[in-house]
Amino acid sequence: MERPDEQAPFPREPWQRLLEDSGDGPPETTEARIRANARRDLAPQGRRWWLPASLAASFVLAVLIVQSEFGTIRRAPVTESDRTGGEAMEAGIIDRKEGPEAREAGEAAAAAPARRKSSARQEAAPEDYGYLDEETGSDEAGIGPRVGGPEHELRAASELSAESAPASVVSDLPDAAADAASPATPPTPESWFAEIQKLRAAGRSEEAERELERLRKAFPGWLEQQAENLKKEERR
Amino acid sequence: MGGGDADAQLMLRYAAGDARAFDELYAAHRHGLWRFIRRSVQNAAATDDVFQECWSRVIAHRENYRPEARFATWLYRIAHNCCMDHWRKSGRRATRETEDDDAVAAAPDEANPEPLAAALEGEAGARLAAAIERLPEEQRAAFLLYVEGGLSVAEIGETTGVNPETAKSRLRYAVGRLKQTLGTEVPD
Repeated sequence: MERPDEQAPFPREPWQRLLEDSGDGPPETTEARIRANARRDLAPQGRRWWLPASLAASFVLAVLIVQSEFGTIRRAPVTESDRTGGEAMEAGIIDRKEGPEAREAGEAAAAAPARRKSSARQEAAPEDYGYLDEETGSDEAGIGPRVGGPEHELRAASELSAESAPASVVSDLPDAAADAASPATPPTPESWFAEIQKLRAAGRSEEAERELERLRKAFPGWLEQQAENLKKEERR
Repeated sequence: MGGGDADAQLMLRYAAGDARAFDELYAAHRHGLWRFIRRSVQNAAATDDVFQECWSRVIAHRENYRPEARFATWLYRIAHNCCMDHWRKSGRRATRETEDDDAVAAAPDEANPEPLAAALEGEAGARLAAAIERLPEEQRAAFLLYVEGGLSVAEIGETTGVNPETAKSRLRYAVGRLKQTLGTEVPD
């Protein structure tokens, strides 16, 4: 491509020789920097695969966290409180050993007050709530006390009690019994016993007996204590 | 100065990812380009900066290079632009580019006693270098592009933004001044 320079005013080679003799040149550090720059610029730019990957991982993590948080709250009434104990066990939704064991031994209701205390300290363990065993242990969702467990679970249980309990029982319940079923005011044994006596007076002895049994399990020793008190009163 | 075709091929190879091609190109042009910049900017520290900037542009624009012109022409055009940028930044650039060629030729030598002393005491090369530094900027650029860059008169005109006649005139004036300064040591 070197073409003859017809317009050349003078030969350049002698001047070039003179200038090259001056021994001027770039410093080594500069040369090293330029060569390194040339190689660095040639190096393939690493694809930033980690950026979309980390974004996707963050998104999945966020979805999982949201699902686990809100899923627990939503599932609780559906799987544990929405169904009666027998239905839940049949549906296999509540697959825990405590259910049948507690049903047989009747421990769940007895342990409810103690668990209510512990539940305040361990909010994140819904399996430890006594009412769960109590419900799964019962053949049907009755009007029994809803003790132990976080507030939202109690609220859900109270809402569902009207659906799961037999319509006759619910409709016949007096205000006190309705209050007893309400989570905000757990029933006292006295009010519960009064409702049992009302059932008995109304001729619904089977229901009264069943409720009495539940009362005995929920408040062990209370009936005996009451009987003792009554005897003492009579003696006096 | 490397051959035009060979340099263009080296540049194309470098653009395609061959780092050794760059090494060969750099080795072929490093001294000439350094001297060109050194005598254009007349400042050691600035020479280093401009030299690096020039090669950085070569590296950055490697993919835009088309072998339509000789590689040396392309390289020295970049170098000349880098020098212009340096002058612009430092505010040193005179406005002579707009002046006519006769005015440029008649311009007095710029006072630069340090290179003059070196020229008086040093060898022929150093004296020539000192004499070049005393040339007016346009003449110096034309002379250096011609001698160090190996550019033709037309290429010098294209690079410096003047017509070939003006470039040729600047060259003639530059050589005349150098001969006047160096006396008997002027090469034939």
